[in-house]
This record gives sequence, structure tokens and C-alpha cells, in this order.
Amino acid sequence: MDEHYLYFAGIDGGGGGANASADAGLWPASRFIGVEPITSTTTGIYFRSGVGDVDGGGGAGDLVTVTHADTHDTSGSYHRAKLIAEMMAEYANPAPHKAGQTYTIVDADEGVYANGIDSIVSDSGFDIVITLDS
Amino acid sequence: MANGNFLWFAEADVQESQDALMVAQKNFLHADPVSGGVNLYFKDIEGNEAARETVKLSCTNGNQKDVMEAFARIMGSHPHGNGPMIVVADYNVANSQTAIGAHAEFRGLVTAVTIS
Repeated sequence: MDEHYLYFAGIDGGGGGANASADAGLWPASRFIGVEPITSTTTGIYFRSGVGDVDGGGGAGDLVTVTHADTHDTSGSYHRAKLIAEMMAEYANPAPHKAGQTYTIVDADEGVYANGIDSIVSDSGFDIVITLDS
Repeated sequence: MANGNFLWFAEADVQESQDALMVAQKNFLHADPVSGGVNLYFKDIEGNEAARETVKLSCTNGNQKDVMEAFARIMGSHPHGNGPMIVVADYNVANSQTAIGAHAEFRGLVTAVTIS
């Protein structure tokens, strides 16, 4: 299958290291669902869960929460959700023939960031937290 | 692997949940005409199989079919993949900017967007 993958490794309040559950995550790009602002300083990146249940009627997929600056009412700016959404669309649809390739979206451990999100890494409080469905 | 188009919707004040939404075109379920607009339904962005996203595109009664046909054309953009995020409707003015408004394919028929 001509699938490529998206990698996130978080700060999560200063921890990380990609050596424990939810320190980092790799998802097939085809499981990417979408992006939505959560608060003025957080944006959710959603993936279809590998669990596939509905958790007793509620349910949620896998979530990468990005914490960033509050720019929603800054003149000439926009809520960071739009920048993150544009970036995710770009990496969900890379050039063809990229099967097996991993794209690093955020790797706070190694300081590697995808185009677009690299412009907000300097935001005060910038962080990502990975929440996996269970 | 191309994963299809991604669609952006934004209300007038993008600040928190349900103020804006980026969804995959492949998760579009159906459109339903309602008084004063068209409801677009997508699979729930949080992956809840018991819920769905609703995006209302406001229009004058009588224009619902034209709006749905235009939306179908927008979703069919970039058929060979690798397309950028498509701004279907963005009415955000929280940043003191003039709203982008609805996609030109709607030819002025869409006047607002509501996400619920």
C-alpha cells in the first residue's frame, strides 16, 4: 500500500524522550481525520483510533493537542489552528511515491519540525500532548 | 499516498472548539437542505462513531441545490491529489481583518457558516 506516516514526539510539560507510551506517536497519514481549535491556546490534531470502539457510546480517536500562543484576536494574525490545519493538509498529501516514508511533524526531542509548525515553536508554552484512545 | 482534499470552515470568531474545523473530504457523509441554508454532515472529528460534525452554510431559500452542487464541485477539486487545504468558507473577523467569505464557486450564494 502506498502509505506514508506522520511522527510526533512531545514535550508534554518537559518530559519526552520517546521511550514511554504517548511520549511519541507514528500514524499512517490515511488515519488523519482533521484539525479543530480547542481553546484559544490549544488546537487538536485528530487521528482515527486503532481501537475502533466507541467507548460505551462516547468515544474518541487519538489526539495530539498542540499548545500555542493566543493569536485569535491579534490584528493581522489568526488562531494557530488554521496554520496547523494547512500544515497537516500538506503533509497528508505529499508528492506521490512516498510509500514508507516518515514525515516528522513535531519532534521536540530532536528539535525537528515540519514546515509551518516550525514558525510557532517559539510560542510561549509551546507543547504537544498525545492522548491515545483506550 | 494521496489522502484527498481537506476542507476548512470558520465562523466569525475563531477562538475555541466548534468555531472552526478542518475535515477530510473523504469523511463527508451527506448534505441536507434546511430553512435558510444547507447542513453538511461529516464523520465526527474526534472519531466518535456515535456522533457527526454539522456545518451549516447559510443561503437564501431556493438556492440550496445550487449550494450543494457548488460544494460538490469544490470537493472534487485537485482530483489527482496533493492539493492544498481548501477554504470552503471563512468568516473569521476576530483578527480585525476582512472576512475571506465563502469559496468563489458558490458565486455569492453562501452568506455565513455555523459549526455545531
